[in-house]
Amino acid sequence: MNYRRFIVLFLVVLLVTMLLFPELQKRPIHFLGRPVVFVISGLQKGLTWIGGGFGNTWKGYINLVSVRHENERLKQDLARLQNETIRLQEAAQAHERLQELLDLKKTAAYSLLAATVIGRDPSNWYRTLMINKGSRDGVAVDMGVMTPAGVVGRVIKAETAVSQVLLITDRNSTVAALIQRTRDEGLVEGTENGLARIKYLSLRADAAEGDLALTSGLTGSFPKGIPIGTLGRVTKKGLDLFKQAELTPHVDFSKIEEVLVVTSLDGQK
Amino acid sequence: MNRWTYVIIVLLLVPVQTTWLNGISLHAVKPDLALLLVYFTGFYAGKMNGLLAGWGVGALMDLFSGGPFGLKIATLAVAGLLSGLPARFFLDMTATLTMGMIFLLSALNGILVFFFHQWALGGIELTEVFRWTILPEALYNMVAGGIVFRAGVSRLNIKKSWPDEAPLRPL
Repeated sequence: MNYRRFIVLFLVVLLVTMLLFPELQKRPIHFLGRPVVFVISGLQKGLTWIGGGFGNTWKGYINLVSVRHENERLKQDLARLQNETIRLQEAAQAHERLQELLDLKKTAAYSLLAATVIGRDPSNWYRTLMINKGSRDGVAVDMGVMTPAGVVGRVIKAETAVSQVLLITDRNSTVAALIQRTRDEGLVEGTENGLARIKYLSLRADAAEGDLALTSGLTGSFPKGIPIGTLGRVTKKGLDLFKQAELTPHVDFSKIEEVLVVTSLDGQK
Repeated sequence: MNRWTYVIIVLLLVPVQTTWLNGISLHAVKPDLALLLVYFTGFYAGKMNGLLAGWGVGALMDLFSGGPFGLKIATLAVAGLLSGLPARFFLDMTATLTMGMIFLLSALNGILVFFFHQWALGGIELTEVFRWTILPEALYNMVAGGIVFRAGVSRLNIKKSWPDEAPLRPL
């Protein structure tokens, strides 16, 4: 037992002596410690690498989550701004159209009432528009309907709050017309293919392709001189007593959104 | 189909037909949803229900159409009645068969509209109207009918019911 104590004491003294003497620290301890340090530091590096990698992955994941949130927010912002742009473009176009209507309304020598198109004919057999102004707004049957581009048609039904407009391209529509250049008169009718033609042109009429057809003012719906369309080919069939011509209307009926109803021809509001 | 669902469909029919469908019109021709509704009603619920549906839907359409009042009532009622007649000969419908029947029905309906219009107002030629209205409309209705059958009728598994007559027994 005493012998063992002596050995322990000796080892302690030896260790303290070795630690206390700098010269002794340089070689044997260092020489013995190097492989241990190598192994331990290797493990350290490994753990640091794993820890760093995990940390980076974790950080990356956290960043990705925030990037994803940011991306979603930016996408929402983009969609909102796109909608806003479309809305503003739409408003600008509507403003332009309404300005044209307003200009015409101000300068026209007759009374006009602005209306919005709310629907079209449910069948393929008739070409009509439904507008949001009716008898309570002063609209009555047979009133003319136009846009700044030209004649649209005439009112055939006037309910309290809405009215139905027969387009000039409907086969049942007729509008008295005048060729601007030659002053020849005729009647504009709709055709089956959604266009129009001008009939009952005198055999002596000098009307030619490209001439402009205007309202003649002979019927009560329209004042004189509103553009209807441009003449196409002028024909005469066999022994017919009149000439007729194809007519391309100036108004694009598939894109009408606002119209003006001619409520009075004498300009009284 | 629930009766109220049917009423809602009928009420939505005219607004949809007069507004949204213009966006898919080709050369100013669009599918006739009223005819499709009347066809499916006649075929799946019997000729009497088809006739009544044609009458009701036709009245609504006439209110918003530029044609003479009564024209759609008459023609759609006939279309509803005609749709119910062949139903008893078919136990299982396919999209192709549906499209074929809708094409024929639409063409017949168009010719009927022509005669009614000619009788009431006159002034149109059958060849012109067939080329520009009846044929394109029948083709468009055929395609739309096929889509409605695929998307709705076959998926909802709507079965035929014959309140007015019994199906033919196989020999």
